[in-house]
Amino acid sequence: MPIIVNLDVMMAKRKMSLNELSEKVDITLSNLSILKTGKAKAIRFSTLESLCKALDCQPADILEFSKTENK
Amino acid sequence: MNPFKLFLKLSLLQKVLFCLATFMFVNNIHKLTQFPIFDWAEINGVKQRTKIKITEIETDKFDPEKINIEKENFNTAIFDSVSLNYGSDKPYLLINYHSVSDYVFSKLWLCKMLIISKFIFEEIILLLILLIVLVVKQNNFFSKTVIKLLKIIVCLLVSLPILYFAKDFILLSFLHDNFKGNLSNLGLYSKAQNFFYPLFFALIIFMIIDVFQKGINLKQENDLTI
Repeated sequence: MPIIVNLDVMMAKRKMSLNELSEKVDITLSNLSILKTGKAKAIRFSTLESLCKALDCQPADILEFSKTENK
Repeated sequence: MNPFKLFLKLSLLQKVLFCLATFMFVNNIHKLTQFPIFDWAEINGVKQRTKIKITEIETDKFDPEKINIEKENFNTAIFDSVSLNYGSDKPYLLINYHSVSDYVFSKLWLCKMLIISKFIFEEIILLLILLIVLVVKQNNFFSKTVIKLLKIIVCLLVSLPILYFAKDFILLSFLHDNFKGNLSNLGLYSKAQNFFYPLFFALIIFMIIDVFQKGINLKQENDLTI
């Protein structure tokens, strides 16, 4: 998919662990892991909203569009 | 009692009875003939294994003097007279017969094997349906296992008419080789529905597989939406 999820980058910037984020956002660890590894096929606006709230960032900081990526 | 289990049991019983009946019919096909077929015949007052080839019959009624029996040397014993039991209520004329047990893979044996394999195929289909129910009961309605099982069912359903056709073809060939008379009214051949229904259900299941495939895709997409 040409959409890249930069959740791990943002988590590193905020120095937040996966466990901590899952507690804050109220998403299971497995779902966060799917999102982090780029296996997710879609993301709800509500999830994106809570992620942005927890990481104090914009949606564009988490998601990125790349023309060359053909995974 | 669970109605599904009852249905399965009744279906199994019906299939066993049908298989037995067909098997018995093929087994006793020689009863249709004017002359009984024996692997064993009484030759010169002694019961022994023999090969009898009746080549010419002049009258409708059996008269040992009026039929020409080709005698064959068997177990190095040359015989002069052959005594056969005779039933008058057998309308079909045996013109040529070679003992079934002379060769294992005779046409009748093939017929029997085809009937048995048809029976086994039908039972496998029933078991697969049972398996699908079990898989669905475990909340895996849209799973790849169900699709695999359905694909096997389609293959078996498509092969059923082929088995029916092969059985009919071999039986017809056997009867033409060995009997004289009108054989079309004996009801030996499979009915048209035996060919139609398996293919019809195979087509329906094929469409169901397509629906399941789309369901799996939707489920996967739903599972991967966070």
